[in-house]
Amino acid sequence: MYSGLLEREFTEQQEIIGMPDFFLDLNLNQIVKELQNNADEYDIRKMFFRLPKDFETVCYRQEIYREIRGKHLEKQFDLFSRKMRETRQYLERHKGAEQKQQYQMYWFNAVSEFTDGVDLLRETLVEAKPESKGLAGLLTFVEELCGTSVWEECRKEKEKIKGMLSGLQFELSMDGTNLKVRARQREEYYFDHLKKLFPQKFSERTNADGIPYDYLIASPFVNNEQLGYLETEILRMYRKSRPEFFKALEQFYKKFDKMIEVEVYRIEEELQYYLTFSMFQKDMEAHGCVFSEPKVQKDGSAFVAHELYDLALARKNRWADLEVVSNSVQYREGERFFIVTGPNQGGKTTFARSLGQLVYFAMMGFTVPAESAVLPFFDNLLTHFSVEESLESGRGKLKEELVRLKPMMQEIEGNSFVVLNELFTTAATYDAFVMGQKVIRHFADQGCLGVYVTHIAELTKAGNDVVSLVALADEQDHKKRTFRVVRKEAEGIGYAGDIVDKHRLGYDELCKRLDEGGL
Amino acid sequence: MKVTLLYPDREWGKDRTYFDREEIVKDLNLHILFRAAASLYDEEAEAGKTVQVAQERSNEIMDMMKRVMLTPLATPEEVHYRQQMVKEAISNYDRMEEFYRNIKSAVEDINKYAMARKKQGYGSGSDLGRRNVANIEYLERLIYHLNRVSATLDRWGEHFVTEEMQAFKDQFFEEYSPDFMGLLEKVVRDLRSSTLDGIIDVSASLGPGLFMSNLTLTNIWVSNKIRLTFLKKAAKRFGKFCQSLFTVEELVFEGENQNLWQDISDIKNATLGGVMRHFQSFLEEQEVFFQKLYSQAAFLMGAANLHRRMKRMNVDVCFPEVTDRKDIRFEGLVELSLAINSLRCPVDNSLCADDKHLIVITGANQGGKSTYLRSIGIAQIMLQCGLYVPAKSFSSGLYGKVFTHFTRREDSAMNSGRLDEELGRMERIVDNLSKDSVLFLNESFATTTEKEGSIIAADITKALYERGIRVMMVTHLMAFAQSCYAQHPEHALFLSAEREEDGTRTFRMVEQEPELTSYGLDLFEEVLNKNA
Repeated sequence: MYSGLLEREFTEQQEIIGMPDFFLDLNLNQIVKELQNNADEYDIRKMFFRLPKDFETVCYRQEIYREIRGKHLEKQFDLFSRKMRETRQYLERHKGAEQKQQYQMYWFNAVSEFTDGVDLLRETLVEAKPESKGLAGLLTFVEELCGTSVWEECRKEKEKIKGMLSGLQFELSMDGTNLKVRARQREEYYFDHLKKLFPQKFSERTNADGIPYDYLIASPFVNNEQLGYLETEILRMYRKSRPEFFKALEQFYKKFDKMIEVEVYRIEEELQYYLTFSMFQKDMEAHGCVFSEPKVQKDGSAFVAHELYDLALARKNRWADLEVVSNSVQYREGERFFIVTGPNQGGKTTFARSLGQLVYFAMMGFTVPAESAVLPFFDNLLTHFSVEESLESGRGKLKEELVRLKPMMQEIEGNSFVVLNELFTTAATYDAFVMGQKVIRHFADQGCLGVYVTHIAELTKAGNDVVSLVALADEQDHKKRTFRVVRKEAEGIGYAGDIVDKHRLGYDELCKRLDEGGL
Repeated sequence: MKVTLLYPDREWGKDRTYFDREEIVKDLNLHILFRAAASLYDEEAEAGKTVQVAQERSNEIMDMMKRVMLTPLATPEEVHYRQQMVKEAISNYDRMEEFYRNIKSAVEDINKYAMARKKQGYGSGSDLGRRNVANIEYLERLIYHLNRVSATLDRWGEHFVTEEMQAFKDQFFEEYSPDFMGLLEKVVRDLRSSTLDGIIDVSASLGPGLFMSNLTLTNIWVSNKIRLTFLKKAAKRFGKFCQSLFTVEELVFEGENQNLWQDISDIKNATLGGVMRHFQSFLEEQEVFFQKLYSQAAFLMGAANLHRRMKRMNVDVCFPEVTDRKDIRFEGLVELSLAINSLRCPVDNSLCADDKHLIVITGANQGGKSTYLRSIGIAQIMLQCGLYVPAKSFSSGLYGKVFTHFTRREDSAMNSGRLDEELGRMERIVDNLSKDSVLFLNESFATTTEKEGSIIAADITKALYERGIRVMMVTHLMAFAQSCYAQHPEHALFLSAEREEDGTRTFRMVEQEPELTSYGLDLFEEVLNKNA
């Protein structure tokens, strides 16, 4: 049994889980929502909600993602998926068809698409010579499926019927009320005139029947459930003149009634997991974002990321001309918690979020929003971001925070990454300090790594394994924020000065400024 | 087609405008120019009158004058090109006006159809049919307008005074060649006939589920055979007889058939829709094309209007010369907004300031300092957008950035909030400064005490002077002006409002050392005496 593209061992249908708590906090919902929008027909969200349970699964997925992107298989896989979607559509209509010939025709259409799709998948994989376990397994699975003699025979029959179909071309000649139908005689296209008018608007591509794509007109009856009056008349005409075609159709239906394997649909869906993210990555790369494949280590405490940024923010800003600042961080030997302090709107939360996202995408087997990253394996992400006071629960905000924290603190097992943002803001500073310290110690002592965003500078002294980071205001202009986060002792900064100094228009400063501006 | 009435190689709309445009407009009274340019005059009523009443005011011209004037040209070549276009508009005023009016009516027409098209959205069924008919009508209107524009260009072509306009005409006729227009008209005629009594031929085959697929249009034609009912009936009967003998792949439906009628109209509509789809981007392009043409022509029209107005007021007009940025020279320059407002030609000034990038203007109150500064500012703006200037001659460099910093009466109340605001604006200017910047400062830093203001002014001026940035300033801060003068800076020029022995003001600026008093006393006397 093929285990699929997400798990390395075959598992029975897993129960469907809802959106994990950390999704909203890390703004991952924004990204996954876009991925879902791009994968219309599939429910891909459920695949994104579940973090892999073990290190090997992370590697399994990473290999697949790397191979799909490295060998540019996205387009072919996409074509395969489209054929599967069409198969299902034809099947749907096959079931609803009332007329016998139509019923058989739809079956033929469905089987055609399905076998074409699977053949395409096989060819793609054979050519790609897969190295990853996941894709190699898929090739084996597909080859078993379409290597049978029935499959071969089906291919032949398919071609025969297609050939007959291409002989059934006709021409309609009509004015307001009169209509004439006859076999097609002339190879003539009115669109040639339009092509002469707007040459650059027409492509040379033609469909399987040799008609240029840009010359085609969508049939007004394409969404009808049943054949209309005119089409029924035409069908009647052909049944009289071409009985052999309808005979072949009937035989095909009888002979190949078990061709469609639903197991293929599951693979198709799992492929979307990789395809949608790959498409998203390409899109973001086109906007100047950098991605890299993280090095995830099973045993090891190294955690380094270069030029890490908030992907959700970058996504939001992609059309605006706003730069998203990146940061480089490292947990050195023995360090467990970053305490981030700094001015409001200084980029503290964004920084914490980007760390959480790094862990998430790395564990899902994807590339990460950073220039490079090395990190240990985590099996869970715990986050807590302060929320607006809830009216419903009727509890004070502080109490609510504690209630939300409690299960997090009890459930953890060593391997979690923790992101905490502005806890206990409603409590007195001293209380917040004491409580914050307790929370940090709790997680750190359990062996978790994490990041804690706060206003309380004293928390940076919560232990030897705690590191102080500061979101820096611009050194030249305190009003501008650089959004850069660096290792630094926490401090309280105040600004003062007279109006000229404030606007930095004193001679010395002005000169410095102008010189910096290259004047 | 690229509409290149304003730039030799590109279209209008992508270039950067000045920083803080609204300030420039307010400080230099440019809105008076925009309004004057936007007024179209009734020629016949003009005879015998010196002052004309505006017949109508075009918002488009007003808007475009503002936008184009506040977008500097980058090179002398661009200035030359724009000047040539303006010359063409001035020399052939009547043709220009015809051109502009035709485009204007085209744009109004197009907007009507475009709006209706957007409102209809994507309909289906009979909606689709109605939309097709509307689109065909739209195409017919477009052809009409294109032909009208080309006719105007043809007539104008006989009188072109510039090669640049000739090139534009050639480009237009290359894009809308007779071949292209001929074929376009044929296709649109066919489409129109298909909605009347024309016959359309569509080919198709059997697709998925035995539905029709691969539909494509093969021909549209008009039957010219005489309808002989008797013969037709006989032929039909004969045809049926034949059909019963062989299996012929042919079906004929004639006359009223309710079931068929809907199918026919569906196919027809889908077919026409499929054809119209290819016109979609053509239609959109034409909308854009005419809109661009309209905007750009509006500027030229405005330039021609303003020129007429100036001529009528006997203001000297010349096309300025682009020189190096370190020099500025002019002769007989007047302040145009004042001229338009006062309906006569004000006092003119001349200047020759080679290699001087700091010009400090001090002197008597009401002596014309601000007017002088403004006259240079306006002329500079006009030069940089390729317009003529109100002077006998004018030459200056091109500045990518123009900043104005005029303290207005309402701003001069002294409080720290004002100073904060003023310096805040100064800071924004500094943030945006570049080598090719020019600053027009009028009574800046007057929102604090003279002493403080002088220090601030000295600091800022010194820093800018040292970096060779062009600054033209009117100042009341005599302590600053004098200390500045005392240092004898090589590239600075000090001007004062001329004042005759008896205190009469000539409103002319002359080169001289800043004096301590700005003759406020004179003014005080004058005002009080008048009242008495």
